[in-house]
Amino acid sequence: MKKILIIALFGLFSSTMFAQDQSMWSLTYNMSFPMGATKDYISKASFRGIALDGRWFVDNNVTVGGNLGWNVFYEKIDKATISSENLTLNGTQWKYINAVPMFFNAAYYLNEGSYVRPYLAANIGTIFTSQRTEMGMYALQDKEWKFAFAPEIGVTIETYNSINVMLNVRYNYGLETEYIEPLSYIGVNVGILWTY
Amino acid sequence: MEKKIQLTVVLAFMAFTGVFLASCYPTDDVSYSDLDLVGTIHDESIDFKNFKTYVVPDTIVHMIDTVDESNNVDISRQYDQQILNLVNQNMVDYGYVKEVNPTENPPDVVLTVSAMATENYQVWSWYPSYWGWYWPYYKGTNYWWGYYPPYWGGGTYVTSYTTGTIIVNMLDLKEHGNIIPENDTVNTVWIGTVNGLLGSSISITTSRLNTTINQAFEQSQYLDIK
Repeated sequence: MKKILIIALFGLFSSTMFAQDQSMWSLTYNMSFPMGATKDYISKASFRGIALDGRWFVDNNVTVGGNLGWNVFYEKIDKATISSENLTLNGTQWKYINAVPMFFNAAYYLNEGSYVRPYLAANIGTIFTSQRTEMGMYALQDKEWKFAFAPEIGVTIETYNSINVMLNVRYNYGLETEYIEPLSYIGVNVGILWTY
Repeated sequence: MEKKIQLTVVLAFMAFTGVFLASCYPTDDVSYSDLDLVGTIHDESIDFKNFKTYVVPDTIVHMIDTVDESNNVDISRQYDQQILNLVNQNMVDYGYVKEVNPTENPPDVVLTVSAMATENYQVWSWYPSYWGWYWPYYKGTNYWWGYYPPYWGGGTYVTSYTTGTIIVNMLDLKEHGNIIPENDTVNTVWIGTVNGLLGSSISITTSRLNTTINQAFEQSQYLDIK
């Protein structure tokens, strides 16, 4: 985490040091669609998400970098009945997942020299996951760091005046931990991209 | 120039997303009945079909803190008859027969009804800040955009709420003829609890009691001996 910050700060202040584009930054709005066990817990899609991503060109077609995001999932279930052995509870449930993915990534870009560059990326890192179930006036909350990976396809589009667009689809997967089942969701991310 | 435009776009996008996220953090308006919780637990070794007769004592027992009496909250007796009627009606609906002369003929089960209430306090505060107007401060599960110039200083306020619980306890008297309280252990075979926030209007409280006490029986189908 600290390392990412240092790299990020270096990236910001080093902008004047390079004549050519050395790094690529994007800020995206994220929509997330839960899958698997995550969908069993919260079936509704999330439209609350943001991510910051920074990448450095190691050659004209390859970047390495990292990103930090935040996705909020939420669902209210009216008067749910849950049972465990001989105990039964009935009440309105509010369910939340706050997922904070932190990844290192590597990406390969096609169409060198073109305004539109599709790419393929691999992300690896962790997703800090906070899962909270409120029922009646009580709440159960678990917070865990999940080892995670995320394959990603996307496209960078250069438009007028170097205001660029980042568009990508990413499958996020955080491994099962002690209290929280595997976290998986497909993120559809769109935002702006700028270079230094 | 180019860099300047880029920066403006980035800042605008950040501001948009920041406002968007803060203003849309997921919450809904919460009603009293949303917070009602019904819990039931039973002894799985019991076949309720062995029971037939029941009684419900005509008084709801208030459970109080005898160590620190300042913790106690007065509980209204306004709804006692409604609660007892609901318990009786649900037992009859499940096929039990009310024992009219329990001193002569001990019933198979006794359902005691008790109630307790607790007052809870919460302290909210916000802190001085130099970020100017429209700084979100945290209140419960909501983000509010403060209209205060926060640099005037922070603040604290206290809210309280009272929660109430009704406990229906079904005791197995079938094995016992006359109970000698000092010697006999009487087993609980089913507990139904209803927990919620006190303070709603009479009509809403009446409706919440109907819903929740019926739900306690509804989710305990094994009690049905018909």
